[in-house]
Amino acid sequence: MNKIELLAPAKDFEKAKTAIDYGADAVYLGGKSFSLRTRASNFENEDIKRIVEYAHSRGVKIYVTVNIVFHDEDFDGLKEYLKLLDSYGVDAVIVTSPFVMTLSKSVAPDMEVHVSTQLSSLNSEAISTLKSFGADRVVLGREASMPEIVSICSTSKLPVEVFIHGGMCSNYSGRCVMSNRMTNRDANRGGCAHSCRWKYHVYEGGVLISDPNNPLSMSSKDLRAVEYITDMIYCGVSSLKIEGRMKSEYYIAQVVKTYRKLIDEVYENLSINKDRIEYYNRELFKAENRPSDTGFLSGTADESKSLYGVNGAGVTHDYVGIVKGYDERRGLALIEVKNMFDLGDQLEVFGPAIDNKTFVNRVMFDQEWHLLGEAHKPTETIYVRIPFRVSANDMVRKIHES
Amino acid sequence: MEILLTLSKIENLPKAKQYAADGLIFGGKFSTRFSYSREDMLSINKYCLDNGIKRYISLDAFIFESDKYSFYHYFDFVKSLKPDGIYFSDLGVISIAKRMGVTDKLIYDPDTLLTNSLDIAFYLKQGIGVVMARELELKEVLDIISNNLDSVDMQVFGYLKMSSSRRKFLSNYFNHLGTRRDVKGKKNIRLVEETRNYSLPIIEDDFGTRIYTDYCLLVYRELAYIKHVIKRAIIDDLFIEDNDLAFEVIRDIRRITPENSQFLLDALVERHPNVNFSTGYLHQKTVKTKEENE
Repeated sequence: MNKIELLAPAKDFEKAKTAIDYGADAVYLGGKSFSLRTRASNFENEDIKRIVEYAHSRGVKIYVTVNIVFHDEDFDGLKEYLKLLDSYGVDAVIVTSPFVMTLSKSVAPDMEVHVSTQLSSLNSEAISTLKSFGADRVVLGREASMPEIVSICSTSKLPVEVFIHGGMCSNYSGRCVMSNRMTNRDANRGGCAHSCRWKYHVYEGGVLISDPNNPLSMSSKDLRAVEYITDMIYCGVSSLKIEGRMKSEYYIAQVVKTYRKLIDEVYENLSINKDRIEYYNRELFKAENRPSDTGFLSGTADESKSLYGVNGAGVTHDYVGIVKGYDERRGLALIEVKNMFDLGDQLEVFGPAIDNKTFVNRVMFDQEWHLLGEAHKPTETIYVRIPFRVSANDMVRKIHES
Repeated sequence: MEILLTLSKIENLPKAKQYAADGLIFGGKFSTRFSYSREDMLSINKYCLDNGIKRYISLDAFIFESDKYSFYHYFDFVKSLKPDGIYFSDLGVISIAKRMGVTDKLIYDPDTLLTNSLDIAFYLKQGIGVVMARELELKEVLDIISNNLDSVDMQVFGYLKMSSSRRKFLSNYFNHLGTRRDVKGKKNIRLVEETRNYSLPIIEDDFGTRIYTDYCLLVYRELAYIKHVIKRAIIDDLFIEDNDLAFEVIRDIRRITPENSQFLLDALVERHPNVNFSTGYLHQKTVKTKEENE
């Protein structure tokens, strides 16, 4: 049995590298054209080539999104782009359009075609249809429950990919044009204004029936699927997908590392107990900036899975710096400041080879060896005394007082 | 071009005949739009057959894996009606219809997604009909039609579906407030965004929630030029309070020409001053990024 794939998002080369270094088996990203999340699509063609080389040298796959809902004006240059991706060695394209599926198969037969969640595939019959269109893998809609995923996998004619973490459309993906009407921005071509997250008053027969001080929002909590990973492994899901091409390198690192450890633990012990599930959930809270829940995996999405008047999740940790080097003789780490921290703060280091080691920040210097009481200048590089060995690219976070 | 009308109530059957609708769209299970029983559907089907009206079945709901076997049985029933067409939204229907040998009856209507000539040609080549996405500009509609002459369906009247969710937004919200409220299937509930005046019809039922445009699509002037190259024009009377309005539209479309379209439009608007008519996205430029909008 092939080990299940952990698939991470990346906004640019550095974040893709972070995802790979922290344990992703595959990374998906968007190019400058033909991709949703237009603002997240920061990969120039040359960067795609570079990341494919980096990934393949580590046994990691790269998938490129070509998933806008095409209008006639959008096809210019598509064939050449698909050929270019193929020439770089891109492993798969993620598409919504059946025409693009067939085009990709004809001009780049070595590149797999994965069907985007935009097509809301929620049953094994839809997968059979998509197989007949030439698809190699199908990303399920996020509305499927865990029992439904089990059933789909038992009869699916193609490998199945499932979202396990991150933001969720409150509507069926691809079937929402609220943004088009409300802001003239095309939701299905990368312009979504998230109109579903706005506040709405509700009227019945012209009478206001909503709370004027607490109007309706359709915003949903993010997805967090720790307790379902074991079931997904056993039922034959092929790939576990993390949402978040807009997310920071810290978020990517923490979420990828947490699921990497979880998956490896399930394969090693064949199961995972309640305490460990709680541990992994606590790890994910360290990166969380919106409240999260199990979405439709646990059945219906009731009010407990919606967001009303909540902006943040009560972050337990702040990402404050990234390690650039470590002087073992002096016990000093060279750190690029990402967010403010002070002397006396309790800090925690994690990285591909280090797992949540904490220390109290007692000594900091600037580059001229002046003692610092605070690190308040993002991008500044400073020295911090760390009483254990750290490595370049490890990340440092501040633990909030509980 | 055939003119099709959604049959919101059985009592409208004689009027559909009187106003010479070419076909009626109706459905029961697995339709978010209709809830006719099998007996009702058999009656409607018979009436249509007796009166030379074509029959189109709406199967626009998503099929969840847990409902798959129930869908197989229901699809058998739909097949037994020998309909002229089956409007569907879930791609799984294609696989099922292939097995049952009725692919040629299928008409794909995902509301959105069918936004270009090439995807539309893809489905047509497989013998599957299509309904153009609603969020298209007129020039895009013209491109699609000219690339696929006499082959494409288009909604030409009615409130447009803007979103569809498995979530029950209204119930969830009122449960959150602690004020349980019966909202199921009600058609008089509206959403009004805090900073905009749009009054958006919203329906919640066992399928989830659907939200519609604040306006009613009406495209007389545009349709006058393209009616001869569209396969079917769809008139949807959901949320239309004046029962005669949809029938007036059928009558107008039947006789509409480039010369009389403005006159017919003005007359209809004058007769129905309380309806917020619009040409929808046809003359609304939609952009791809926030930056383009600024």
